[in-house]
Formats: sequence, structure tokens, C-alpha cells
Amino acid sequence: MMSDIRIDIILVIYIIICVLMILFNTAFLLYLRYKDYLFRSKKEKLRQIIKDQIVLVKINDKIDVHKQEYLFKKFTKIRFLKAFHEVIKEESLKDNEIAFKYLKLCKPLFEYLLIEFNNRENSKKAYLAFLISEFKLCDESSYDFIVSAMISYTMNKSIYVRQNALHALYTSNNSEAILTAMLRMQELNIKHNNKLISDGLLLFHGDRAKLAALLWDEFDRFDMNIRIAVINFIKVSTLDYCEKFFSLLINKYTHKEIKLAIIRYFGKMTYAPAGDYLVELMRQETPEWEYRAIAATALAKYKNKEVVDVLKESLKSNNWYVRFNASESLVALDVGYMELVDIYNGTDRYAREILEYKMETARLKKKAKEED
Amino acid sequence: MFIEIARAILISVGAFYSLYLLVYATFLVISVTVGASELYKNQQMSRLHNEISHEYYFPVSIVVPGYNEEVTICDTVYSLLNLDYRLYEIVVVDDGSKDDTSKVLIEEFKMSKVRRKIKKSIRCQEEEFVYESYAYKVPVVLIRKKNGGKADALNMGINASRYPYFICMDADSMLQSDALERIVRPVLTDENLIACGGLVRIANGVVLENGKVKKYGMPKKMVTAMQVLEYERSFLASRILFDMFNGSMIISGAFGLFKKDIVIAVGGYDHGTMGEDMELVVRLHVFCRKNNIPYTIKYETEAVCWSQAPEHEGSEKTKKKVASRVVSELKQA
Repeated sequence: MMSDIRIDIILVIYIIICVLMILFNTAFLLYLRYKDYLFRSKKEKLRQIIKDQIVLVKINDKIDVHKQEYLFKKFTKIRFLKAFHEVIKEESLKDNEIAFKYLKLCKPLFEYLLIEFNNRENSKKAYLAFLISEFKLCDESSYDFIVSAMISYTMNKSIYVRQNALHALYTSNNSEAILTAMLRMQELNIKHNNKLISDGLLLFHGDRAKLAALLWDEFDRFDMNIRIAVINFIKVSTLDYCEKFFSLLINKYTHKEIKLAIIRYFGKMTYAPAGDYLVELMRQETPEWEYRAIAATALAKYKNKEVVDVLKESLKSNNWYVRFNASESLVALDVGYMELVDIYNGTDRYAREILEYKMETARLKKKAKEED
Repeated sequence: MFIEIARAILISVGAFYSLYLLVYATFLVISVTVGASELYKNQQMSRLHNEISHEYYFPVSIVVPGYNEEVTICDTVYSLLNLDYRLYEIVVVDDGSKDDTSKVLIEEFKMSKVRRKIKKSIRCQEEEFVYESYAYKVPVVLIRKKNGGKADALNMGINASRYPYFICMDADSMLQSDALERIVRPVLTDENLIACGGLVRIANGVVLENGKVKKYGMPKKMVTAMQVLEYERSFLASRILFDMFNGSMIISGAFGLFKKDIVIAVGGYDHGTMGEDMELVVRLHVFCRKNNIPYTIKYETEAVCWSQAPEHEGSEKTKKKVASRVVSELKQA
């Protein structure tokens, strides 16, 4: 049967396919260049319109309605929107305040686009959300149309739409809107990376204490990922939630990951009862070494005899991470040689070696800092 | 009778090769078509800011195993210090070099000897000495150990790394300044990601300045130019196709990101094979499937590593490198 198959015909077919692919690539590249060429003059017209409008804004005059209408017509095409973005970036370099003043007047344009883009691809929605974030178009009012749209975007299945929409909300200083978005994501069980959430919340330059209070009020409604993100946000914002977090820490039903996040919080915000609790935790020989390892790091903020003693004991722990973190904390606490002499002259080689190593690296870091 | 048997054998061989070429050519056509369309889609997505552009990423350890690399090692470390990334460490493992790899590194980066004991989570040869430097934007660590091969040096680097993700790379490769940020991005979009490969390109004929491409051209030597073409085809076509169904079977030893705990769980790199990079990835697939762990192994085309292809035949080291590249290219195909 094989002899019936004409190999030469198969080869010719493949050669034709290859040639067609090369032709397609060439034609497509030429087409893209031609489109760019055609668009160049349109882009210049757009640039002139925006410049004219910005001049009107500068002299506190009304912007030209006809020119705005032209933008309404053209903006549904992504090329125009990209060109608009580029021109605004150039203008904001010249005069940021006036450019943003003009953008505020363009809000109806973006509201119109949000409606127009409702049934478009997610990539375009993500771009629109990105522009809204860049141009800081979300108001502080929760009833703002753009804010509502961004909240609905945070429920989109595309991570890029969600992330850009969340960015737009973070830059709005609108804490209620952020809370609403988080709760909606929670209700719909939308998983968004907790690092993206906790780091994203740090972009919020409004009243962080107010945002933290709002998130804390709804803390129980969030899943573990968002709870950890909230704790991290409060930790980095150095807000005083010591009592609240401490009661969560001592609650035996609190999830392990949340407890670990709280211990890290107490490594930044000192709270005497938490310090005592961490010392107790270090003394417990539970199989869950993670508690002791994180507590050993957190105790670097609590200098007293009991803490030094427990850290010294931990240098003899079976667990490498506990020993490592305890030695690091002893160095950070600047414990003198005389207090550690029993370790240096002791029989536990592991304890001695790890402490010596940490002392050496601390000296190297100090030297590097001085030379810097 | 004899002639008939010989004829049947020849026909079978002919049929086998025809079928093989047909399947391979079809695979190439499909992979190139899929690769091109995916790359175009990615480019469009990136043009519309459909990407995670995040200021604070998680910390990463970069493990650089080296053997007789005194000529290139300092440039490699300098290129790593130029990366646009905030939190990482550089761990160079000198695998018992016969030349002055450790010496040049210690002198160039003013490193100091420390009494550090490495915790051996995975099996590797003992360390002879450890040097560290904190004089740069990130810590630079040098570990000199007894010779045990690349896999062993990588295992030592994994043991010494402090962060939950590590990058493995070759001592004669250079990362593009945004490569680290790019290779880390998929972890933020997919929490099940356990490994991610980068795009390895041939640096011959390319001018790099501070980790950025200043001039791109094909190498003048025919053999090197062929390597460029083969690398581009393999990385920009086949791997994208396999990536679509979590089917990547190799992450190049020249540049890849791994989740440390899972690599430790499978026992690290295997000492007994030449293709330790492919073997590890296959073992990761098997481990996750056997233990019902949801996982993804991805490939990131935007994370670029420039690798030097050998141009002259001569030294024993060059011959070894050529052999290693041939194996690597065969795996990629």
C-alpha cells in the first residue's frame, strides 16, 4: 500500500504550505506597516485637537464641544485610544496639572467607552481599566459610574481586567469602593493572588486607617487569602491593631496561616502581651515548627532577659530554621559577648556555628554600610 | 527467497522513515503556526497593558554553577547585579574548578570568608569554603565545593539559597535586565506554578549593554548561525505548543525558575544523567501527578537569557560545551 503513496506529492504539499506561510507573514507585516502609515496623519490630527483643548483648559475657557464629539466617534477604535494615551502622556510631562484637569473633563468620554466596551474582548476592557487607573478617573464617591464599572470589572474572569480595575480603585482614594470590590470578589469566590491584593492595597494613598477599619469590620466575611492580605496591609501601614490581632492570635480556632501573619505583625509592632505569648510559644515543643521559627524572628523587637534566654535555648533546637532565626534575632538585639559566652564555649556545635556565622554577616553588612 | 526478505525489509524501513518525516514535518508546521499566533496574541495583550506590572515581587535566589569559568564569571555576576529587580541573592557555586574561578570572584567582589554551614536538604558534595559580600545591592555568595558535576553544584546552590523560588542558570549566560521580573510574573497569575522556563537565545552577534540589547545581528560563522535558527525555532515554536497543555518536558538549564520546596521534595537534580534539566522536569510532572498536586509548568517567552555558543573547536572545555549543546538541542527538538 505504501508504494501507492506518492512521497513527492506530499513533499510538494509541504513546500507549498511553507511558501504560503512565508507569503502570509510578509503580507501581514506589510499590511501592519501600511495601517501605521495611514494612521500617522490621523494621529497628528488627534494630537492637534488635544493640544487645542488643553490650551482652552489652561485659559479657563470651555473646551470645544465639536472636537470632543470627534473624540467620541473615534475612541471606540483601540488605535485612537492608544494614540490618545500617548499624546496625554506627552502633555502631562509638559504640564501635569492641566493635563489632568482636561482628563477630568473627558470623563463622559470614558463613561461612554465603558458602555461601548461592555461586549468587547477582555483584553480591551483591561486596557480601558488601565487608562482609567493611569488617568485617575475614579471619584471618591461610590455612586460614580466609572467607580461602579471598575467594581464590576473586578469580577471579570481575566486576571488582567481584575488587576487593572483594582489599580484604578486603589488610586481613587475611595475606601468604600475597595471594600465593595473585595466583598463582591469574595461572594463570587474569585481567587486573586493575595500578594497582588496586599501589595496593591499599599498603592492606596487615601486614609489608610479608614480603609483598614472598613476591611477589619468585614474581616470574618473574607477567605483566608484576603484575610492575610488585610493583615499584611495593616502591618506595612503600621496601624495599631495590637489588641484585635492578639485576641485572634490566642484563639485556638484561628487558622495557622493567619496566626503566622499576625506573629509577623507583632515583629513589626511591639505589644508586651504578644511578646510574653511569643516567649511561651517558643518554649512549646510542638511539631509545628513554623510558629517557633516566625516567633524567633518577631522577638527581635522585644529586648528583655526572658527573650534573650528563650532565643539562646532555641539555638539548640532540632529545627534548622528555628536556630537560624533565633541567631539572627540575637544579633539584631545586639546581645553582648558576655551574655552569649556559654554558647560560644558550649558543647553544642550547631548553636555555636550558626551564631558565629550570623555575627560575621552582621559585621560584613555593617562594614559595607560604612563604606557605602 | 533472500531477495524477497531484503526487499520487504527495505520497504518497511522506507515506510517507517516516510511516516517519521511526515509526522515530524506536520509537528513542525503545527508548532510554528501555533507559536506564531500565540506570540502575536501575547504581543497584542502586552500592547494593551494586559500584564501584571507589579512593583513588589517576591524574593528569588539565583544559582550559578560554574566549572573553570574564570574568564566569564565576573561578567556574569556583574550582569546579574544589573537586573531590574528589588529582592534577590546571587549564589555562585564553584564546582571544584581547576582554574582561578573562586579567586577572581573573591578579589573582584571583595568577598569575605564566613564560617557558614550549608543545610543539606538534598544530597550534594561537601563545601570547602564559603565567601560572602554585602557591598552590592544584593548579597553575593560564593560556595566552593568538591567537584561533583553540574547537577551536584545546582543541588548545593539550592541548599544554600534562602528564598522560596530559585533560578538556575549557566555561568556563561547573561540575563536581560528585565528577565527576572518577567520570569516571576507567571507565579502571580497562576498560584499552582512550580516551574517556569525562560527564552534562551544565542548571544553571538548581539551587543548587550547593561542587560539591554543594543545591536542584534546574525553571527558570521555558519555553524553558529544555524544554532541561532535552531534555538529560535525550538523556543518560539515547539515549547509554546507544549505549553498550551502543560506539556513542557524541559526547562533549559541555562535559565529556569523553580519552586524550591517541590524541587527538594523530588530530591533535586539527578547526578547520574547528562540531561539533568530535562530529567528534573519529568520527575516534577510524575511527582505532582502521583500525589494529585495541582501544578503548572510554564514557559515565558518574554524572559530572555543570552547564552554564548561555542565558535571554535579546540580546548577540552569547548568540546564539552559543544557536546552539551548538542544534547540540549536534541532534547529541545
